[in-house]
Amino acid sequence: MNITVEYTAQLKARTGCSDETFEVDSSCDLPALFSAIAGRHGDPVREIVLDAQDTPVQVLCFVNDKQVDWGAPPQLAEGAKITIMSPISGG
Amino acid sequence: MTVQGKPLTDEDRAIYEWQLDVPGFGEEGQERLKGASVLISRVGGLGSVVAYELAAAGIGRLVLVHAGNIKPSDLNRQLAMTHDALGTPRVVSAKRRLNELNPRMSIDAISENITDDNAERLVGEVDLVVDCAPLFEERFAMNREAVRQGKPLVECAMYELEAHITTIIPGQTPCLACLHPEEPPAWRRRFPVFGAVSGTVGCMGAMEAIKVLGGLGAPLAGRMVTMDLRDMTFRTMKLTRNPNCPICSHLNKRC
Repeated sequence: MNITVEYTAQLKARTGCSDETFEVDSSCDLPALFSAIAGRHGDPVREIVLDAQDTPVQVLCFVNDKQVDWGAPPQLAEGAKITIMSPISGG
Repeated sequence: MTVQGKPLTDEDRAIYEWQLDVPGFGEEGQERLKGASVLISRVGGLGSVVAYELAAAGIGRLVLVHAGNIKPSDLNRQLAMTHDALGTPRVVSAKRRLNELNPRMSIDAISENITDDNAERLVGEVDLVVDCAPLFEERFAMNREAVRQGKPLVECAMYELEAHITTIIPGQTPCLACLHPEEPPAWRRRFPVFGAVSGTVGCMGAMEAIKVLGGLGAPLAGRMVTMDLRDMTFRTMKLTRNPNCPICSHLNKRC
């Protein structure tokens, strides 16, 4: 199935794009998608989305504009839109 | 929220007559602003603009918290700082500039940043907090105290040409720790940004404070506005509380 992933801020800068498509197995869940994102873009992105154990860092993430509850990540479906918001601050 | 208003003078009515005509605000809203106090954590790119707009709107008292002296690299966005004040404390410059605009307001200029040690005292002095700080440890300390004391907290943030803003109402909306449970490992203190970006979200932060304190409109409670000024895309995302949040999950109302 095809999943669209949108990035903001640091993630947009490090991936070099504001959105892109991933073709994944129908069994793919959100942690597996995060691993695929890190695999495609390497360490600069990995350090934002995965921790040292390669589990997703709990970044602010939305699936079809609904915020992800990391205690119960939603199933992904064909055509899903994932928005990953890189943490930002004031200054 | 309940703010004890202060009666307006004829001078107040003359200065604020354009906003007194705003439906849902009026003299009662202006009295609330006059009686209100706001803590602004750091008066940098965001906080300078929040403070300036709140001073213009007639907030009664500002508590400005920001350590350090003005550096050249502050001047692209920190509008409360001036070139002739380079090397002097930021909060002193900010207080002077704000009092030029509004000499009637009270300003506490504190040359320190929010820490675990001073957050309880500083948050306890005000009706509302605006978080414009760059470091997550400061933001988490403010969030903990705002939730514990039941004070509204306006959260502003930016990066490059992007920004976002939400308003935390303890017990009703997600708190900062619901959104970011831990300090982001890849966050860096310095990041690219234009002053026009911090100014945009700073104005929105001030408007949120005015709405909450003045009792008008619909604050961004449980919602986050995200914006990318590179292509002028604005979106509103619905936020949800973390049922296991160590900071706010004991408060039982859900947004």
